[in-house]
Parts: sequence; C-alpha cells; structure tokens
Amino acid sequence: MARSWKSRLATLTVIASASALVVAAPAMAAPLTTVGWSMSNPQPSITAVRYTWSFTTATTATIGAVTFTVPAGTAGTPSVVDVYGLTGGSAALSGTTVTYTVTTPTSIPSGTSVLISLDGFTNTGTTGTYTSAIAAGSDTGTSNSVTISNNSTAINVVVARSTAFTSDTTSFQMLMDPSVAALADQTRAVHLTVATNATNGYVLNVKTDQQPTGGAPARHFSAITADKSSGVASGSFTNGSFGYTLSTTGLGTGTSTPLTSGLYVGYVTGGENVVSASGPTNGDTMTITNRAKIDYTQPADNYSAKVTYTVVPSY
Amino acid sequence: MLKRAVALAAAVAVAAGPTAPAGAAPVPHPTTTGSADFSVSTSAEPVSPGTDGIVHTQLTVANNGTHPLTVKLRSVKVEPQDNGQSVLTDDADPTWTPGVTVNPSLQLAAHTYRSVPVTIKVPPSLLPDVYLLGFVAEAQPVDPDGAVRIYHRIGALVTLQLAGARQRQLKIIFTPNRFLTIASTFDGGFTVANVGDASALARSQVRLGDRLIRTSDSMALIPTGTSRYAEFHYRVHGFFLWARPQAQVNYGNGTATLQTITGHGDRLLVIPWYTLVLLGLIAATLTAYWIWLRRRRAARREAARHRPGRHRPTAAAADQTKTAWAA
Repeated sequence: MARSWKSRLATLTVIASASALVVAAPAMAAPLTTVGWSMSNPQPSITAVRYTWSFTTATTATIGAVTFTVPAGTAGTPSVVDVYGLTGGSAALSGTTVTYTVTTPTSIPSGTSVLISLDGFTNTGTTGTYTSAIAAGSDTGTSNSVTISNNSTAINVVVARSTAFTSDTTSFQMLMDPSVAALADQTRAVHLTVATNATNGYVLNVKTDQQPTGGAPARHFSAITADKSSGVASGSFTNGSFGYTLSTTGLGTGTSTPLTSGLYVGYVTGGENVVSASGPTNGDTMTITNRAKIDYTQPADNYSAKVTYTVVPSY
Repeated sequence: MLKRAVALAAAVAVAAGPTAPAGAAPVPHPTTTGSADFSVSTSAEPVSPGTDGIVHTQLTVANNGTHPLTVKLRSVKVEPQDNGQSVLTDDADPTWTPGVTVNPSLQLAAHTYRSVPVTIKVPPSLLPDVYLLGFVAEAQPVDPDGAVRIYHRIGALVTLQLAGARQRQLKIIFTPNRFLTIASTFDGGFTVANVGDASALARSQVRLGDRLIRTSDSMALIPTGTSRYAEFHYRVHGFFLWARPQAQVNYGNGTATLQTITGHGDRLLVIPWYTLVLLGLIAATLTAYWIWLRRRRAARREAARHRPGRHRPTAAAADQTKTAWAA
C-alpha cells in the first residue's frame, strides 16, 4: 500500500515539474508572419513618402522597440501616423535602420496583427529592388520586395466621399374637398433613395418651415403630433391635421418607435433625424407618406409649406 | 358652405399627379419632371492650406436624373455629434463661411456632373486642429409654386487639417459589464470621449485575455466635445476567460510621437457551456467513483467480518457458549 502512494506521488511530481517547465519556458525567437512593406511613392529621391510596415507576431513577448531596415540613402525625419497592435511611441531613422520605440512596452500576444505607418521619408536615390528586415522583440522577418525606380508608376486610387440622394417628388398639391370622403382625406407618398460610402452611414433629417398655412396665418393645418416621439394610428388621424408616416428598406431604420411602427407623426420646424443607418449602403429606400385630412371646419384657402429632406453622411 | 368647399378645392390644386385616398397602398410614381436625382462628393483625405493660407478643394455635383436640375451650394455651420454623425445647420459658419468661395448655383443637364472649385481662406488666428466644414447642396423644386414644396439636400463634409502641435485629451469610459457570463463569447464596449480643446484622430484596440482586438479599421476623427463608441467581441478559446479588459487608444498630438491612453473595464469571468458540461461530467464521474469506493470498502469490511478467525464472537454466541459450558 505504501509503495502505491509513493508511486503516485512520484508521478504527480513529474507531471507538475513538466507543467512548470512548459509554463515557464522562455519565448523562443520565431519568424514573423504576413510581413509587408509599402511606400506611398516609389520614385527615387522623392520627399514626403509614407512607409507602412505590417506583420503578425509569432510569440508572446514584451516588445519595447521594432526595427526596420530601409535602403541606404533613405533620409528624412519620420513621424508616426498610425499604429495598431502596439501602443504609442516615437520613430527615428539612423543610417539604414528605422526604430519605432514604444513609450510604455507591454506584453504583445502571439498572433497579433501589427501596423506601423510613418510619414516624412525621402526615398533613396539609388534605384533597385529592396526588402526590409523587421525585428520585433526576438521575432524577425523579411518583407516583400519594393522596387524604387524612375519607371515605377505610383498608383494612387482615391475614392471620394460620396452621397447620392434620389426623390420622385419635388412638390405636390392635394385637391381637397370636405364634401367628398375620398378628397377630404388624402395621402401623397414621396419615395427617397440614399446611397453613400460613408463609414458610419448617414442620417436623414426632415423639417418644415411651417405647417401648411393659408393666406392668413391663423388658417393652418396642425401637426398630427408634436414630434417623432409620439404617433397616431391611421384610424386616429384627426381632421385639420398634417403629418407623415415612414417606411424603410435597407440599412436605414426609423429613429423612434412611432416611425418604425407605421404611425403618423408631425413635421417639426426645427428638424428631426428620422432615419439613421450605421454603415455604407448602395441604396436604402424610404417612403414618406404625407397625409392631410379636413372637414367642413377647415377654411377654404391655399395652404402651403416647404419641406426639406437632408441627408448627412457620417464619417 | 358648398362655395367654401369649392374654393378650398380650387386653392389646393393638383400639380404632381393624382393623389391617393388614405388607406390605399402607396403606388410608386414614375420619374417625372418633379423628381430629383443627384449626388455630391468631397475629398476623402483631409485638406490643408498651402503656403498662402488658402485651401483649394472641390465638390463634385452630379445630376443623375433624366431632366435638368438646379442645385444651390452654400457653406453652413457643422455641429459634430457623437459617433461621427454631424448636424448641418441652416446658418452660415461665422468662422469659415466668410472665407469660402464657391459657385452658389449650378444648372446641370441630365446625366452630367460638374467639379466645382472651392477655395477656403483659413483665418490666421486658428490653432492647429482638425476642422469640419459643412456644405449643403440643395436641389431646387421643378415647380416652385406647388402647395407643398420639397427641397432635397445633401450635406457634404470637408475635413480641414491645420498641421502643428496641439495637446489632445481623450478619456475612456467602459460600459459596465456583468461579472459572470455563461457563454462562449463576450461582447463589450467602451466610449472614447474627447474632453480636450482640439479634435483628435484616434484608433482604439482592446487587450483581453490572450488577445489584442482591433475595434476599428481606420483612425476616426473625434471632434472636441464628442465621443465614439467602440465595440469588441471575444470568443473564449480555452475552458474559461478570467480577465480584465484594457482599452488602448492611440492618437496623435501633431508631433512625431503617437500618444496612448488606457482604461480598464470590470473584471469578468466567461464560462462556456461546454466547460459547465465537462465539469458536470467530471463531478458525476467522481461521485460515482466515490460511491463505488464506499461500496467496495463496505464489501471488504463485510467479507473480513465473515472470514474465519478474523471476527469476535457476538454476545449471543458467547451466551450460548456459556450456557453450554454451564450445562
């Protein structure tokens, strides 16, 4: 019996020791993966060039500095434009080595994608094909080849910030008559389409300069509700009122419960964001159905209003 | 009364096609002269002034419709909001509008576009910063006499960067999370607020467990007084996650050095269902083993009791012996 316990204890000791060795094993140098290097302009001797390096760490280690080799003759005072995977720091060029020094080094997990983008380089005047050797902690790697030559064509594709807005209606009139039921309660749909490449989408703002008003200011329609926060069902639409309901397809959605529930809300003179989208879209459609309802208490007059739909992209 | 009604009917005349009685399904209208189909584009990159202190950029306005369109352009004030959204006011911007020169009205034939030069004179008193300038392109109604005139506007934003050192001040506010989450994933978020006097271009990432998670694909502009919400998603790779998320926000101060601020969220424990199932199986196995051990010991004791020479006589047996002996 005693021999059995000794045997078990020995086995446990061996396992524990092996585990401790595995846990405490020092990080071994390993090759960086997905190593990349690019420059904004590959012409020789040109100034104000942006160099961008990217790689993926192979081991978990505290990285205090990352070094990159650049072609002999490279000059300039680099400034940091963008970094991810690491934290803030500064960059310096000495000879053929660029060093990005992390201000507060921390442990970087293996498999972390790192990007370092530096501005302010002047390309070497010697044409040729170059690679950049990268060292991050104990991990090293070599980048793809970059050719610096007069024959190189710098390709710079610039996509503008763009927003398109389509509407099928720029004005409408309603022929209303309280003596005919079909003419005393009318709707008019305005169909809108929005397309934008804005990263954070867009908002559609709706406002009016006034509720439909006749020749005398006292003669006007009332907003069916004070704003988008409250709405009325179709059957509860009251006489002498003007309002709209909203339906959307695509990424954009109504910004209040009444707007997403098909209820009628009133136009606001100060304007309200009624549709919001969180990303780019090739074409969201919105139908704003305007409605006016009268009875014999509505004075005969020419009522007019100006409604403005504004699309504002979000970047 | 009838005369009054007829007067109302005559006053509100139909100009843009028939209307539908309430309750009828809205019918899409074909494109008519009463439509607007246009777009506005601006520079993707921030613009900067030349040595003369003047910015040269352009707005590209396109009429994508099938009839001519009049588009009016003007500079307006921008009110930056959270998460990159902006509100364009109707008012001119007192800082920028006086120095903006742009063609105020364009006549665009069908399916044509025009690149409209815009010059912006930068006020010399402005400090280095990233500024948002707003422009409104407004399509004019084809029938300006309609009872209800609809104006369609596209807001265009131009980002103007004045280079130079400027101290930025950002703050990280973590969204509180539950300590214990029973799931194989964890979704969290935090807000980066600009509490300084200058706009900041920032990029954020989160350190959680053994991962560094990027929360955005590019640097985001955070104007002063606004904030951006960043979300992160973590999938547990082991049996559990016991960690405290750390947000890191990198941003520039207009110098060669990139700054970083960090903020910590609440400590969290994420246990996937498979871990709980595994623990349950282990507990069941150990319990079964324990029961088996107890039964085996009990059986051994019982067997030992009945083994010859290894048990003491019971009191009854002793009495019987005594009785026999006495007899």
